[in-house]
Amino acid sequence: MAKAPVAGLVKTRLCPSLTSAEAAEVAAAALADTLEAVASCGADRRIIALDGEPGPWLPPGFTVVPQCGGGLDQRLAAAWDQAGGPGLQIGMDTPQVTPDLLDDALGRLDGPTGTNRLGGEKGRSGHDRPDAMGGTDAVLGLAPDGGWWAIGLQHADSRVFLGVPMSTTGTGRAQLGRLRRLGLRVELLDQLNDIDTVADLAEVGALVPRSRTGSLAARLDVAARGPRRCHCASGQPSALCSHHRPVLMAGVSLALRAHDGSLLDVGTDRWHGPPTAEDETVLAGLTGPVLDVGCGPGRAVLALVHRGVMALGTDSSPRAVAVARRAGVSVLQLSVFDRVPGVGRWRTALLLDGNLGIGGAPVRLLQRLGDLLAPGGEVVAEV
Amino acid sequence: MVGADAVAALAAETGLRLDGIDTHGDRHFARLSNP
Repeated sequence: MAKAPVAGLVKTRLCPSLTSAEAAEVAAAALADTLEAVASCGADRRIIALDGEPGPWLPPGFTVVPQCGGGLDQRLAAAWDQAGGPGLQIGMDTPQVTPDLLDDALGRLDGPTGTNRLGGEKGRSGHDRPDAMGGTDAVLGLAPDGGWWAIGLQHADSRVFLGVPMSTTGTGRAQLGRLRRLGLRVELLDQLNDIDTVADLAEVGALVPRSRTGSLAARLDVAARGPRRCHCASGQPSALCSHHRPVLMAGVSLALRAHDGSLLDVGTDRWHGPPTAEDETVLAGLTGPVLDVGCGPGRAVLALVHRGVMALGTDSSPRAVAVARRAGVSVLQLSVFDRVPGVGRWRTALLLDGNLGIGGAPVRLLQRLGDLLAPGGEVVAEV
Repeated sequence: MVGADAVAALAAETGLRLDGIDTHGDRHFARLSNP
């Protein structure tokens, strides 16, 4: 769902901090970034339900259908009716979306066996409820402002949208409730912040500084136009304060937003990459068997195994476990507070990155690890 | 993250023994042993 980026008609909430022409530039950049991600994902068909006229910003490979009139719920229902399903729908306010995020959502609808392959022969053949080995009925990506940024369905059904209050702080919750009341199995996607305000633009731009949107946000210096001020004595806007500048300039892929609006890079690139020199130094001193608690994609477990050290990862995230297993890592999907094998026999429990915060109670976590460790065993925790 | 200065207090509270905090680059790793 998109609007043609015409000044005065798009991103009007960015004004008066931005001029209407600048707001339209933002809309065009966000649209181009979004379409680029869609073009690179694994979907078989790409449809843009457009309010306005196509322009040079439209890349090849997209089918354009016009949006109907009425409220957003009606326009969504009509767009799905034209597109059919299964499918995934997003808007143009989340330019930080990536092909991987889209493919993940499509994959959840597709299912592990590919029985509902999107746009493929089997997918097109039926609107039947997917079988137990197929994908989920629906996916929903919520936004921190209370809305949603993505919805995926096995097939079009106007009951999903009609009457759901749109563009409110309760829209995401209401949409999720509607899906569940229709008896659909729903999986939630990662949250993404959408761009409604100048502050949103500053934050999203900081997350994807090399994108069109990020570059434009930097050129327009939107961080200086936003209302948020750093909590420190400088009085600077958060994004310009010296406390935050290194984080925002680092090209982060994921950040934590503090209560004052400041961002903290949580270093997800490191999670997915090979072990760093610091990791290697720590891992070289470990004695097996090692339990890597909150192993994520499993870089430490894999490195330990390559060193000949017996190691097992645990993570409560099914996505992390899936990624780790694809890399050949031995990992169990569970919380460390669940039933963990080998109680009292582990020589080392590893808490890398921010994992000392697992469960939000470091004392309880360390006590639990004490139970899991053999006498004389060791917790190695990044602090 | 828990600051390195809070680790000793954590160790005392959990019954683990703080054997040391190693610094590698800009990262810090506490070693806590099970008595």
